[in-house]
Amino acid sequence: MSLLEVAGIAGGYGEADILRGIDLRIEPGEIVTVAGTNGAGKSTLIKAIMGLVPRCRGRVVFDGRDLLSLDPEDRVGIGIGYVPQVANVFGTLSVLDNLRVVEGVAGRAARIRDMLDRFPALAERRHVAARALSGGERQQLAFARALMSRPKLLLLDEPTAALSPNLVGQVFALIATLPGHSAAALLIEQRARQSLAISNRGYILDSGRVVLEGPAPELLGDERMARLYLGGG
Amino acid sequence: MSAAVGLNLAVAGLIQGLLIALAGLAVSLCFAVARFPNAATGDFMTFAAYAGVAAQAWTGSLLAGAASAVLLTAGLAVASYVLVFRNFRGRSLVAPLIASIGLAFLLRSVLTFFVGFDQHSFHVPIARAIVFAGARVRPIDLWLAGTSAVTLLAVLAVLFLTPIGRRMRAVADNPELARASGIRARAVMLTLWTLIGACSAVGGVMLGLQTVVVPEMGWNLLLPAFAAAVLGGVGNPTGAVLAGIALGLVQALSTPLVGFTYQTAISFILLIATLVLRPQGLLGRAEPVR
Ligand SMILES: Nc1ncnc2c1ncn2[C@@H]1O[C@H](COP(=O)(O)OP(=O)(O)OP(=O)(O)O)[C@@H](O)[C@H]1O
Ligand SMILES: [Mg+2]
Repeated sequence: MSLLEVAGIAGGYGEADILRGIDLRIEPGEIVTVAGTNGAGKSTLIKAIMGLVPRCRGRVVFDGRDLLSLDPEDRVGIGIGYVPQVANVFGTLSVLDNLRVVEGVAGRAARIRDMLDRFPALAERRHVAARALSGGERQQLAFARALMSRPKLLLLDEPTAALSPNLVGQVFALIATLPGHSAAALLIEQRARQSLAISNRGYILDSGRVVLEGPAPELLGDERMARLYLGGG
Repeated sequence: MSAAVGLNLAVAGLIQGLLIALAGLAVSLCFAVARFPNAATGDFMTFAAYAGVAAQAWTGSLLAGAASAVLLTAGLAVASYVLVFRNFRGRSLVAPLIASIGLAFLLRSVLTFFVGFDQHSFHVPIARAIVFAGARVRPIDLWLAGTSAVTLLAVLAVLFLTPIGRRMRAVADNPELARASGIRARAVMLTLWTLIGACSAVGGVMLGLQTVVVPEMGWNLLLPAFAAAVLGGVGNPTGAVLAGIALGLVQALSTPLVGFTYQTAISFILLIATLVLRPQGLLGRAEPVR
């Protein structure tokens, strides 16, 4: 059974549908890249899986459960973590409070220690307000916050977008370790080549639809795909 | 002005400032967490004053009157959330702002219907003023200052030192990320409105103890309360408290210069000047990261 199964999901924020019938699945421990042009609906897709899109129809099954009837708060509880594209930490809260504030975490104190062990830079700056962190530290905090609830699936919305080139590699390396911690990842990326390189499979979105999908090596080798969506890099 | 007059004005200003700080804190908390300026804050205060007068008349005790006012006003604030403001979740601030203006008028007309325009007042035990370095302080003023300072500190302590306060700050910072972190709105909102009710109630009883209890009393305090909330940095509760105290002092100390009637004008001018020149407030707003 797939960990996540999305079937014919459609919807948006106002009158118009941004997502126009998307099918997608993620197996346990898989890393899956979703790429596509600006405004294709990538962020909207991930928000719909998290429950943050006001209007949404279709079928989303996670770990055998129907998701669309659950509030976002409850989706966290059953194992979905989310790192938004922007504003992905609580800037006014300290680093430690960013971790402490997450609800539904069994053994919270121990879990916070785990996170601070895993991200030593955060341990050092735990009493600093999150808005004072550097871009790389902030991204680590966003990951740590999302990992607090031991998600089986992590939704990552362009986690490398705002980072300097030397940090990009670090973040991809971090994502590549997720399956080892028994978490799957849905990874939205502009850097589709680098992202597919650590992924099992990929999907390309355009105007709210999947236009191409397949195993990562196949997509990387696809001429048309390379020309249209991967760019030079 | 002589030192004694100045000191008297400063004492009066401090008490007025603590009162504005309570109202400003109620406004600021609501803006930070529920994201709209609550125009019914003043009428929550009026309600509290009437509730306090009634409960004192019934029980014979000022303390019991004040405690009942806090409980009843917290109940009123929570009810206004459950029945009215909850429905505007995720919408722009226009709808809840207009609803709060409507609620303000409704509260005032219901109060007026039941109590009429007659003046009511608390029974304050008569006591001799304490003279300290030329300043005359009534014992009741000491009580007012002490109670309001404790209330302000207690509310800020809930916000900054407790788990539910941490969740409130997270919702204030980024509601969507708060949901995606598993934080349920319900407990946060019930706590928020209880705190708003408690601040308004202590402020309302304080206001009632200083003069008489009339239906417009709270509404008149709304302007300085908004000024404090804006000066302190919109959505920055600590800033609102500091700005409220400062505003009370400035109003009182400027009385010899501009006269009593123009005190409201000071609030208005500061409010508008801040909005135009420094919309983030003097103390800055806690901006969410982008
Ligand atoms: N909160 C919102 N309210 C209304 N419309 C929105 C909202 N967020 C996004 N949209 C619209 O939905 C469409 C898809 O946006 P989305 O953010 O999902 O695209 P994206 O593929 O993530 O783009 P990007 O690569 O720029 O991040 C866009 O036309 C955008 O304007
Ligand atoms: Mg996006």
